[in-house]
Amino acid sequence: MKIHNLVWKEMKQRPAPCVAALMAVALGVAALVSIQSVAASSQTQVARQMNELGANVLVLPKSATLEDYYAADLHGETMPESYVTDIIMAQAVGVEEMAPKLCLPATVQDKQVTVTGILPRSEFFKKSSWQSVDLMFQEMESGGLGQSHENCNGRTCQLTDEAMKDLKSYAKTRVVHDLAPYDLLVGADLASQLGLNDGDTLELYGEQFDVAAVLPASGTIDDQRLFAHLHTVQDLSGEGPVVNVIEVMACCEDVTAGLITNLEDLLPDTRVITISQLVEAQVGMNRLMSRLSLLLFAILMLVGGASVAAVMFSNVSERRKEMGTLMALGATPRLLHRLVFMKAACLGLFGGVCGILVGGLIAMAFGPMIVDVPMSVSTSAMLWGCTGAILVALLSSYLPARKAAQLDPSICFQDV
Amino acid sequence: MIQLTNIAKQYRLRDQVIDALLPTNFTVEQGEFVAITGPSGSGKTTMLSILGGMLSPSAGEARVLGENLYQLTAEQRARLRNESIGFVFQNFNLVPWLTAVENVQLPLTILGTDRQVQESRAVELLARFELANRADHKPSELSAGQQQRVALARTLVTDPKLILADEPTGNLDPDTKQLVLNALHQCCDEYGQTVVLVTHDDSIAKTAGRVVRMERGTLTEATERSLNIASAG
Repeated sequence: MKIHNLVWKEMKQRPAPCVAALMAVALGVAALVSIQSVAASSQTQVARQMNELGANVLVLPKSATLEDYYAADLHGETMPESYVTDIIMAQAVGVEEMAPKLCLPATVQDKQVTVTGILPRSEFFKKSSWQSVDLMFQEMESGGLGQSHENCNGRTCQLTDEAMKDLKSYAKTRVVHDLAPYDLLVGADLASQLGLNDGDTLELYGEQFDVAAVLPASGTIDDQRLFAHLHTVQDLSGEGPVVNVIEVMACCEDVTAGLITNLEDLLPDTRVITISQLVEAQVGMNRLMSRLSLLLFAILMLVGGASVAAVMFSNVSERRKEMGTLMALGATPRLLHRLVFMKAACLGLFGGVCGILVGGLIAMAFGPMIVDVPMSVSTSAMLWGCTGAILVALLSSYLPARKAAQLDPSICFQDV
Repeated sequence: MIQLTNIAKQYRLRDQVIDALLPTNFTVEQGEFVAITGPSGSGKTTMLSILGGMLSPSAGEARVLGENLYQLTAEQRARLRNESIGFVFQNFNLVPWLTAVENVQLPLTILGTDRQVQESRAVELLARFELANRADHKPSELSAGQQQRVALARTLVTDPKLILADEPTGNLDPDTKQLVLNALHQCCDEYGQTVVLVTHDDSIAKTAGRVVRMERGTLTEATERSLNIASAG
C-alpha cells in the first residue's frame, strides 16, 4: 500500500462530501471552459472570415453613412472615379484588389432592381495609360494590384487569371477580368424571378444588354442585383465618371491597419472604413464574455474553495482519532500535511477534469446556438481551469492541513 | 531501554493547574515486561503517552531507546515511533476504511517499505494470529477479539524494540484476553522485546515480570501484597 492509496480509500469511504466539494469546483471550471470556448471560437471565426473576406476596406464619400451603404449601396453620394487611380498611384502596401462601384435604380419587367456598375480588372491597366505614367503598367504588374507580400502568412493573396476570367466567379471573388460594355451579370435570385438565363437579352434604360452570366447564389444582397460595366452605368446615370464606393481587398489584417491611415491621408474627403470596425462589436462582445467568464470563474472558485475548505476542516475534525493513530504509528506532521494536500489536489484535479468535460460539452452543444459558429474547446481555458482548480483546492486546504499536523497524537488514547 | 528522570506533567484547565504526573523516576531494562496499574485518573496513560513520545512532559528528562525523546524534533520522534515503538490500544484504533491486512501494513506504509514486503509481512502476522481468512475484512466486520489481534499484528509488523500497551485486554472476552496476553509475553520471552503494559486488571498485572503502581500521579513499586489487596478490593 502506498500513501496515495490511503487518500483514495478514505475518499471512497465517504464520497458524499467529496462529491459536493468536487461539484463546486467543477462548476467554476465548467463556466470558464464553456464561456471561454464560445468566445474563442467566435473570435477565431471572425478572424478567419476577416481574412477570407479580403474586401476589408471601404472608401465612401464623406457624407455617406455606412448604414446607407449596407442598406443598398444606394446612398446617392458619389466621388470621382479618379480616386481609384490615386490609390493605384500611391502603391499602398496591402492593396490586393479594388472594386469601384456605382449603383443605379432601374425597372425591369415592372420590378425595381439595382444595377451596379463594376470595373473589370482589365480597365485598371487602361487607367495607367490614361494617366500617362510610364511606370504605371509595370507597377501594376509587379508592385501594385495583386501584389503578394510577406504578411500574407501563406494565404493565397493573388487571384488566378482563370478565376477572374470566369464571370460566374464574381459572386465569390467580386472581381472580373473583362466585361463587355453591354454585358450583364445577373444575381441568382433576380435571374430566377425574371426567368433569365445565360445568353438572354434584357432591356435596360432603353438599351439592349446581354446576360453574360447568371451568378451562383451567394446568400448576399448581390443575389438580387444586376451588374454591368461601370462606365456603361455611369453613362446611363448621366453623372459622369463617378462611383459610390471603392471596395478595397486588402491583404492581410495586419497590413490593413497601416493601409487605412495611408488612404485617409491620400483621400481626405472620403470616409475610409475597415470591416474590422464592423466586427468590433462582435469582438467586444467576445471580450465581454471572456471577462465575464473569468469573473464567474473567480466567484465560483471562491465558492469551490470554501467548499473544499469546509470539507477538509470537517474531515480533519471527524478523523482526529484516526490521525492520532497514524501519528502513534509514526506518521510525521509533514505526512499528515501531505495526506490533506493530496486529498485536496485530488478534489481539485477531478473537479477540474469534470468541469472541463461539462464545460466542453456545454460549449459544443449550446455554443453554435449562441454565436452560430463551429465550436472547439479552448485549450488555454482547460489548462487554466484545471490549474486554477488544483491551486484553489490546495490553498483552501492550507489551514485544515495545519490543523491536522498540529493534532495531539495522545488523542488516540482517548475515546473520541 | 527507558529512563525517566524527574518526569512531571501538569495540565492547565482554565485557572487550575492539574498535576497529572508528579516528579517521577522510572526505569525499564531491555526485555522486561512491566505492568503499570492504578485507578482511573492516576496518570497511567499520561505516563504511557510520555514514553511513546506523544506528550511533552512539563519537567524532567525521558530517555527511551537511548534517545532523549523531547530533545528530538517532532519528525524525529515520529520516525522513532514508527521504527522502534509499537502501540496497542484498548479500543484497537484500527482505521475503519482499511481492511485487516491494510491496517497491519500501515506502519510499513508510513515507513515507505516496498509494497510486496508490506503485504507478505502483514499476511504472515495475520496467520500467526489465526486471522489469515479475515485479511480482506474491514474492522466493522470483525469481532472485538479479532480486531485486537489485528491491532497486535499491526504493532508487531515493524518488529518494535518497545511495546506500549494501554489496557489491551479491557474490551475482550477471557479467551481473547489470554491470547493477547500470551502474544505480549511471547514478544518479551521469545523475541526480547520490552513491554510496558497499563492495566486496571491486577490479575493481568500479576503475569508481568515487574509491577509498578500509580496513584495520584506518583509511581511506586507494587508488592505482591498490594496487588492482592487491590484484587480483593
